[in-house]
Amino acid sequence: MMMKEQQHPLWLRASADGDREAFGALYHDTRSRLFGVALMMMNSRNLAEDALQEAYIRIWHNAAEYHAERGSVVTWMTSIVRYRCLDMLRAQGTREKYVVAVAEPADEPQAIHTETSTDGTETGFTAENDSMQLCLGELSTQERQTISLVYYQGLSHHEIVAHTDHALGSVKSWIRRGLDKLKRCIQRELSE
Amino acid sequence: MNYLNEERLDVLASRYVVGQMKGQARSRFRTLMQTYQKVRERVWYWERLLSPMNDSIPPRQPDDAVWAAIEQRLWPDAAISTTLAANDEPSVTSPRWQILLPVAASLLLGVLLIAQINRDPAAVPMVTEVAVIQSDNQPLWLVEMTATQMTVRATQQVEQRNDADYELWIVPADGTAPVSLGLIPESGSLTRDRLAALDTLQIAALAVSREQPGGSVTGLPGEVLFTAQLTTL
Repeated sequence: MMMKEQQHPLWLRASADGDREAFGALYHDTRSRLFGVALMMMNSRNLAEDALQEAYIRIWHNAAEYHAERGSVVTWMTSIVRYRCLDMLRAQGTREKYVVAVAEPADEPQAIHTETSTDGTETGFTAENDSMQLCLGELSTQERQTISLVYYQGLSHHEIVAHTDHALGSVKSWIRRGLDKLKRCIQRELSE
Repeated sequence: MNYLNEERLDVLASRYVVGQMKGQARSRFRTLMQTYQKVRERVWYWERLLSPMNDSIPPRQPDDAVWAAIEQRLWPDAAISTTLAANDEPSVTSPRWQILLPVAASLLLGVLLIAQINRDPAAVPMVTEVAVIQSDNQPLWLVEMTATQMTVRATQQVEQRNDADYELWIVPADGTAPVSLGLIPESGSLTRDRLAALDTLQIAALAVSREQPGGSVTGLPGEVLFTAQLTTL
């Protein structure tokens, strides 16, 4: 039987041709993963659902623009959700509260959530995911923490400074160095 | 500055994907993405590189109302009749709307003010701001804000476009980039949560732009068609 992940490109192509049922299938198979991303970034169920709604509208209208160079269908869809969340966060200017619980894998490897979603889709368990977790473990605590705050919660530099009491220059430097290390590490891991 | 220098481009693309860019820098970079394939490819590279980070986020179930709202926005012909029946809202073809359509925006605003005064505050959320977007004194959209929601109603004067969507924007008074309030309907009405930007920004005006289907991909308005003042009630 074809894995649902393998059906995503088929559903997306059919959506580009106007197939509403295919788009519904794609929505119901991916909504939990994408909503998890939106909820973590927006820290508000209402705002996250608003971002999710906008993102799927854009996915429907731009379905024909997807191609393999964008990564998997879910990678492409997740990017659309993330950018919508970032736009909303930047438009808000400030957020009411920060989510301070950032995974801190200094003493143990960061947990990979491998639960099965309510849609029946599995998350995690990919070679890329393994490499990412390994490479995140090679970063310093500050590098890992600042990248997590930016990527997972959409915090700006100044919000991170306010949140962590570190100097702006240090925050920027940790993110830059951390991303550099991640890039080199993942390239190395995937080429081996 | 040469943005297409490999090293510089790599830094900018990673910053864009991670979410470090904001404001004008973000807008400028999106313009570069639209212009140069090389820039787009570098962004896609970073999106793929960092995508495994998303796999560690636990999935969460959105409310069923999200799909219902998506269906209504994408296929209003199929969804709007049942929605209107369920909500007992006036149809855009009802006699009341036919009377109001030729009326100038100022008169419509007056009607709204009276309606606002006559509303039972316990039954209906209080409308706090209103705008009438018009062309040649013909009202096109009515925008109503409450403390928690924004409702946009289209009149029959709105040109139906298959090749474009209409997007609503806040034009900030401080001259910074417009902020999107999302796509607005060509017919019927749409209600969504009030964006916090409405409360944090000094608003000079609202604007409606014509965008490719799905809305602006640059984060900035395309061709601005109409503007309107947002009136506080």
